[in-house]
Amino acid sequence: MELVTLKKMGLSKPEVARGIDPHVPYRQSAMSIDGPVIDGPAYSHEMVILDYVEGYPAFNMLPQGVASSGETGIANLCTTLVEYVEDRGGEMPTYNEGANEATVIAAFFAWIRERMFLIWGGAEETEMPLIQELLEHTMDAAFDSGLKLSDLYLTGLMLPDISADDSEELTKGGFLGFAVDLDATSDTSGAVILATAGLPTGTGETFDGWTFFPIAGTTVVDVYTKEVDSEDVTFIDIVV
Amino acid sequence: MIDVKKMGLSKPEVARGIDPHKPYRQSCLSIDGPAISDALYAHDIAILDAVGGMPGFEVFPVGTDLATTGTALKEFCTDRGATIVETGANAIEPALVYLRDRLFLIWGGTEETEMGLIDNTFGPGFDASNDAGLKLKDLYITGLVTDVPYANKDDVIEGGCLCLFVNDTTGAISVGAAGGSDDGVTEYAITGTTIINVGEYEDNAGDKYVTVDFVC
Repeated sequence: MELVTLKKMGLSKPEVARGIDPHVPYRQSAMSIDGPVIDGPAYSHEMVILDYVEGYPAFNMLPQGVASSGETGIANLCTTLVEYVEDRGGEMPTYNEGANEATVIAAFFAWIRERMFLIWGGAEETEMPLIQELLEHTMDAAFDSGLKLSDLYLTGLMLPDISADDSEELTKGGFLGFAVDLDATSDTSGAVILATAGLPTGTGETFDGWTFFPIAGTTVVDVYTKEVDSEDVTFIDIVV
Repeated sequence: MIDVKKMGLSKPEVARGIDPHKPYRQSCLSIDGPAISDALYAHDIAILDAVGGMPGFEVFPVGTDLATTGTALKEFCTDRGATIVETGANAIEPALVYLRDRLFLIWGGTEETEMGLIDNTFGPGFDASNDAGLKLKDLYITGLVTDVPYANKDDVIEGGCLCLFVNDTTGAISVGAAGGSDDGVTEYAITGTTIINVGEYEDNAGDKYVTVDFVC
């Protein structure tokens, strides 16, 4: 009988080194996973979902709703979320268009809770011509490094979708979560972004029509802005 | 850059205990921070929150009875982005679901009254010294002093859950263990905890307390 092997713990050099010094040892643990992103390149600061490809851990991008003729972005998102979970053996509420969008979306976020990983070392196939040529842009074959969104105190997480002005509304001490555009008439209906409690979703505010879905157990301990490429960008520190 | 602040073995920012130079095993499961609204002591369970851009600990918000304590807990969560439709006492359980991973056990409690300068600067009411909290997860803790009445020691269920006791009349919250509550107290299990052993502790005044060893 084969032994159970613990693959990740302690200090090690990751399978695919990245950054300026490829020989620098990275602190890795059971909470970090190296793997490719299956359905699109991911970059540092992005939240992804742990999945598998060919027997190895891999990441999926967060599903986004896309409007098309005959289907709103919200309906597309909800259908996608239900399929995503059910394809993996999970159970979801039956989706009834116009009746239970928030319930379906909340159930999805609850189901993926322990599969959420934060990309902190993003690589991309466009940086690697050989991989790019062989796989023809169909898959991001370069390994990304993901941190499980659990038992971490992380500083400097970027929220690219929330402006510096709106960052003043975010709640320190609030929950980390996702915001979804549930306005069927919006150009971005069905869009999903990483956000925190306090997102300005009131009438006439920047995220009018969006709904915030908190991730239980998370704590946003600081919200601040920093200048990046001459623009003020929103950052947060979190404990999860 | 994203920076992982807590992992591995280190000397905590505020050394404490008999040997201040001893390295403590710290991980992302332990946090140093001040108590925000009241002093905390070792063996207390507190809620992780934020203060001044840093982690801090809050005592449990309580009301004057079971229902208003439920309302206070609900408000604590909804102020931080949660959605809870239940009201009154029924809101306690869903609130604790949101707060489950924000529960920290204070294992190195300090107090501003021990520190004259801090006490003078901040005045009583704000515990400006850092406490050390352990996330109630992936731990084997022994010797936790609970608020289980000593007379109920034999009623505590080994294999049961560590609990929060909420007094039905006063709404006060205390640290309990499954089976150990008096009449008029409602037990709310802290999910995922397992009591391994029940013991006792006698202080210098001769008062006896129930202790538990537990895994979470």
